[in-house]
Parts: sequence; C-alpha cells; structure tokens
Amino acid sequence: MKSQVFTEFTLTMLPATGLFLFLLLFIAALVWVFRKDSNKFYEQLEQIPFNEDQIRDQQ
Amino acid sequence: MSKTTSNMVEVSYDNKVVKAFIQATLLWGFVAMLLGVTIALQLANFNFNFDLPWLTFGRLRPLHTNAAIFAFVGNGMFAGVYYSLQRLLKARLFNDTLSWIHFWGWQLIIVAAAVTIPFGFSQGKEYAELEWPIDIAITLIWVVFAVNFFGTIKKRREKHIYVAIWFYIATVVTVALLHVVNSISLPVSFMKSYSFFAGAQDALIQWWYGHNAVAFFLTTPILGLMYYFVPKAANRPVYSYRLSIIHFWSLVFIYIWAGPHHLLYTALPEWVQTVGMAFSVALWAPSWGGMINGLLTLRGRWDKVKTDHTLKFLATAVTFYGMSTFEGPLLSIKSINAVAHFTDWIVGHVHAGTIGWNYMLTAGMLYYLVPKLWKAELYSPKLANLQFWLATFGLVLYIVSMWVAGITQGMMWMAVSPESGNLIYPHFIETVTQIVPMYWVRAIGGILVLTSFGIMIYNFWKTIKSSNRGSEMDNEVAQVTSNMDQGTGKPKKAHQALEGLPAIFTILVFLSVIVGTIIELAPTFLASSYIEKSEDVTPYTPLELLGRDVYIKEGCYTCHSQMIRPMVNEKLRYGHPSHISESIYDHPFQWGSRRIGPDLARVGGKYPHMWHYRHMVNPREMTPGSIMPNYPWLIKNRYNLKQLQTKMKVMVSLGVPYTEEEIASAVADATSQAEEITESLVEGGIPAKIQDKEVVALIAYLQRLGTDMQFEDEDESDESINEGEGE
Repeated sequence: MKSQVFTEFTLTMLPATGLFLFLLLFIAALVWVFRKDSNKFYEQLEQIPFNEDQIRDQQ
Repeated sequence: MSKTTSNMVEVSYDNKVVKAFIQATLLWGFVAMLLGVTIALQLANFNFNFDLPWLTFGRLRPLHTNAAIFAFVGNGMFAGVYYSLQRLLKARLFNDTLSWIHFWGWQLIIVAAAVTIPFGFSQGKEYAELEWPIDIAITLIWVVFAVNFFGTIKKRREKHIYVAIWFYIATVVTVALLHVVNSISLPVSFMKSYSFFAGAQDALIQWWYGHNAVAFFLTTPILGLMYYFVPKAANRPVYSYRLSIIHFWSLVFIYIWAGPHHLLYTALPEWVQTVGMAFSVALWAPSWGGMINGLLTLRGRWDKVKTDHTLKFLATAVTFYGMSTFEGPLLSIKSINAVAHFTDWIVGHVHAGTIGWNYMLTAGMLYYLVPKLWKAELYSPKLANLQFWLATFGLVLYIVSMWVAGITQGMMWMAVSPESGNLIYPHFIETVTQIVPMYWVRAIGGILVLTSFGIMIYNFWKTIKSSNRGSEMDNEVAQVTSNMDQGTGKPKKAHQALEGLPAIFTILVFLSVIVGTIIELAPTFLASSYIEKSEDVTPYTPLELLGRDVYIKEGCYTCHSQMIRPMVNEKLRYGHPSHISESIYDHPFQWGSRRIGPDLARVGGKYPHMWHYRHMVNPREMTPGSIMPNYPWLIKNRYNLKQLQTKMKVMVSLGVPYTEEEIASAVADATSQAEEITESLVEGGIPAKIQDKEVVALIAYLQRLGTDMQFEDEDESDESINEGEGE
C-alpha cells in the first residue's frame, strides 16, 4: 500500500505548492530587508567590525 | 577578566588560543598539501606507491582529503572564528579551559586520523573515513566548540549579531547534524564498524553529508571570515549589509538540497536527482550574491590590492569562490554531469575551491593576523608576493590540466561508433594512458602550491622570530562600549529579549537546513516499501564479506566505482545499468565518485581467478600501462576469521538476513570457498598456502559483484565487447 502510494502518486501539487510558498517567503524577506526606513539600522550594523578599533583609538 | 566603568568595559581578548590555531593551520596545511603532491605523483607514476601498504594511493587519498578539510581549513577556521568572534561581540571567549580542550582535542583527532587511515582503518565513506571512536571524539570536541561559541554570544557586549557570526552559527549547527547522522554505525570491534545505512540510503546520506561538508565546513564559515576580514583589511564596511542577509538565508536554505547532484544517473529515484540538480542550479544566485558583495567591498581600494598582501589574497579568494560556485552548478546539470562525473574535471573543480577559495582566504587572513598578534612587521613582503604568484600559477596549472584530463577521458568513455554501434575506445586503459601527461602537469602545479605554502611558513617563522613581544599580546586588553548594559553591567529587560534572539536565530537556521533534509531523506528511510527488494539479491558469503572489508581497507573506492549509469556507452562497456536493489546489503555502499580505473559493479565472472591474482601482484602484467599500485601484501597477509561471526551478527542487526546456521558455519563456509578459489590458482602454479591470504577473500568478493540479478536484455554481444576491456 505504502509503496504503491510512493510509486504511483505523482504529487505534482506538493512541489508546486512548496515552490509557491517558498517564493512568497523569499519575496516577503526581500521586501522586509530592503524597506526604506531601515537605512540607519543597517548602517549601524555594518560598522560593528570597526567599533572596537575606534574605541581603542580613544584609549 | 573585565571590569565595568559606566558603559565602558575593559575586555581582555584571548589571543593565545588564536595563535595556537594559526600555528596548527600552518603545520597541517603543509602536511595536507604534501600528501596531495604525493598522491598526484602516484597517479603520474605508480612507482611512487613504493609497494608499501601505508603509502598506497587508496590509503593516502582519504588522508589527504581529511587533512585538507578538517586539519588545514578546520584549524584556520577556528583561528579566524575565535579572533573575530571576540571582537565582534566585545567579549573574551566564554571559557579558557574549553578553548584549550577544543584546541588540543582537535589536534589529537588529526593525529588519530594520521595514524589510523594509512593503516587501513576506514569506514569506506568519502570525507568520513574515520572509525567510530574518532567519530565520537569529533562529536565531543564539536560540542566543546559549540558551548564555547554560544557561551561567548551569551556574554556579549554588542547586542547585534554581525552577519559573520550568522555564518558561524550555521556552521556549528549544521556540521553537528551532518556528522552525527552520517557517522551512525554499529561497531564490530574497537576499530571496525559498519554503516547503519546501506545501498541507496547510505549513498543519499553520504552525499547529503559530503556535499554539505563542502557547504558548511569549507564555505559558510569561510564566508563569515570574508565578511569580517575583507572589510577590516579594506578598512571600509561591507558593500551591502542587506545583500548579506539575503545571501545568508538563501544559501543556508538552498545548499542542503544539493547533495544528490553527486548521484545523478545513479540508481537513485529520478525525482531526488532532479531536485538535487534544480537546487544546485539555484545556488548560483546566492553564491554570486556573496561573491559580488565581497568584491564590491573593495571598490575604491583596488589600488591597494596590488601592494597589500592581505587584500591580494582575499580578493583572489573571492574571485575563485565566484569561479567555483559558477562551475559547481554547471557540473550539476545532468547533461554536463554525464560527461564530467567520475572524471578529473570534478577533481579540478574541487581544487579550484579548496586552493583558490580556502587556501587563498586563509593566507589573506593570516597575513592580517600574524603581524598583529605577534606585534611584528612582516619579514618579507617580497616572499609574500612570490608565494602569491607561485600559488596562483600552480593552481591554474592544476585546474587546466584537470579540465583537459577530465573532458578528454569523459569524451573517450562516451565515444560510440555510429556505424558499428561499438565503443571506439573499448579498452579502459586507453583512456588512462591518454591523460597521464596531464597527471604530471597537475603534480607540477601541486608542487608549486606546496612550495608557496612553505614560503609562507618561512615568512611567518622569520616574522615571529623577529618579535620578542609576542607573549604580551596573548591577552590583548581593549576598552569597549557595551550596549548591552547600563552602568550596572546587567542587561536591561528589553535587552534580555534581544539576548534571546541568537537562540531563535539558531532555531531558524536549524529549520532552514532540516526542511530540505527531511524532504530528500525521509522517503528513502521508508526503504522497505520504497526500494523494491529482489529475491535474486542475497547477502555476501562469509568469505566475500571478508573480501569486501579488504576492498574498503585498501580504499579501492577511491579509484573504482560500482555504479553503472543508464547510458549506452556504459552498458556497452560494463553491462546492464546498476539496479537500486543490488546494493541493498552494502553497509557501507561503494558506488564511488571517480573512475581512475574501470567500474567494478559487474566485474564478477568477467575474468578468471588467476587474472585477478596476477593483477593484484602486478597490474601491468595483465594490463600494460596500468597506473594501479602493486598489492604484494595481499598475498602475505591473512584475512581475519576471528571476527567473522561478530561481523555477520552486526550485519544481522543492520537488517542483513543471515540465518543462525549460516553464522554458525561461517568459518567452515569461508574456508571451503577459499579452497575452491585456491584450487584454480594452484592449477596456475600458485602455492596452496595462499588459501588463507587476503587476496583470496578479495577475489571472492570481486567475483561476486553484479552476479546476483540476471537481466533479460543481456545478450552475447556484451560479452564480446567486455573481453577487450582491461586494467
């Protein structure tokens, strides 16, 4: 029974749904990451590797 | 180690363990490359095997791959991760003792590998050859690393987790998952075990592991290092932080699905192959997103690339990353894979990654770290420049020679005469002798890369020697601003929630890799209902089982596949395509990944026992021009009957249907089958005392291969073609 399901069921809807869901998730992530009001936040994040040096300069 | 003054905190970074990992990187890097050069020479001329068991290609090749991946890149990765982690989190490593257990534990594992693999202790799975006690040690040390790593994140003073650390988290989580699942095995004795999985299941799990060892050991942690060291060396932030987020999540999600591209055209279900191919092609996007992000970080700094050694190596590494991640998906396209698979093209591709990406990035990182950590000026910029050009030129020789060798051999295998329908090159050996000159070119390329590495070691040795202030830097004190606390040193309530984020983040990473894992692996776990069993396929006889262990011990799978692909030329050359149920009792599977010699899936019965005997003693006697090593010790060493029944009992626990009677009579059965084989050898003038030697067991195994199932479409023409084949 189980083997019949695996060999005969084509399951075309399943990968199609999966693809659609993951594409949707990807687009949502893209929109969220590139939202305009987040500029400042990302500028702050990309400076993290340099923070330590600046502080040591003050020493 | 630290004290709080308002929100300024004094932190003492642990440089000592970073320095130790750097020294280990230099040592093991040289060893790994020396092994690489040795095995390259062995393929160019078999005499470099020296007729010594522990020096043969089949045993040294696994040692080379393990040393390059886990010893060289591993130590380099730990050095870079521990250096950058402390600075990105403004915190000393979680626990000094754990750091040193991690360091010495890892070195001990490497030494254990170096001692066991050349002596034939192997699980017979690529990049996972180490036997079960060492596998357990790897797991324990990885847990130590993970505790130290997450412990440092927990005590951080920077509330945001920089993108480099995300890549490290993905590494820590996924490598643990891959290693544990792929290493599941049942021990027979202290240094012998059988894989829990068999045949197609084992193949799928092995390449889910193998491919993702590339992804999560050779790629993600190194990308993390790229996101830290490229901006630091260029003294400007990463080109696009946003792109790095997209890069990370898409890479982590997609990579895990790509494993089956190592198994295209095999007996694996078609849909698994298609999914593997599709996701491999999809990998183009995130890989190139990361490469572009790395290279564009250098915008406006390209003039410095000429003079700054760190930047020179880093920029080259990122360029080669782009090249190999273009080539990888290309090779995963089925029609291209049909030519490239089992050839040297794959070997060239792998080295574009390991030398071009891993070596170059590690060298760039070391040129940044060594002068800093030992507080000394680099001994010789000229030598660094020489190293760069030797490595680059050597690598180009390597890649080009392997392209030529791979495509030449692949095309020769496939060539079928349109008039007669026969193979144009029916003798496998013709396709080998044709590419031997390329093996010499590759060996020269390898020697140049090894020399370049030696130059770097000398340069650093002189640099370190010139510094007498090195130990002062063991604990580097820095003042940092904590944005985790407000005066008291205790986190605020709002920040406590943020502190929880790394845990959520880690769970999300785990979910990303588990989706592909489950969808691809779950159906094959239902093997009993999924892989149809054939009544014709029966377990190996006791002697064949012992012979199979010899096959695994000698690393025969490093040169011979056991998987006939469903292609006209392969059917003409080797016989009917392999069937999924034929390897159902193979713990571990031995489908192989490279055909330096011909496929052996249906070698059983093709040649007389005597042919195999003489071929093992001196392959050139049977196949002039063969590059296979001599195996004189196989006619001296006895096979081990003592463990035979235990081995069969372990097989029974793994689902192989040996009966109690079969186990009880195992020794007698093995001896009787050995006598039969020996009889025909004695007729050819071989002394009867050969009967209890390894070669007899190996012949028994080889003669069994592919003989279980009979296929209706097999006709006499197959035999006439196969007669001409050799090596």
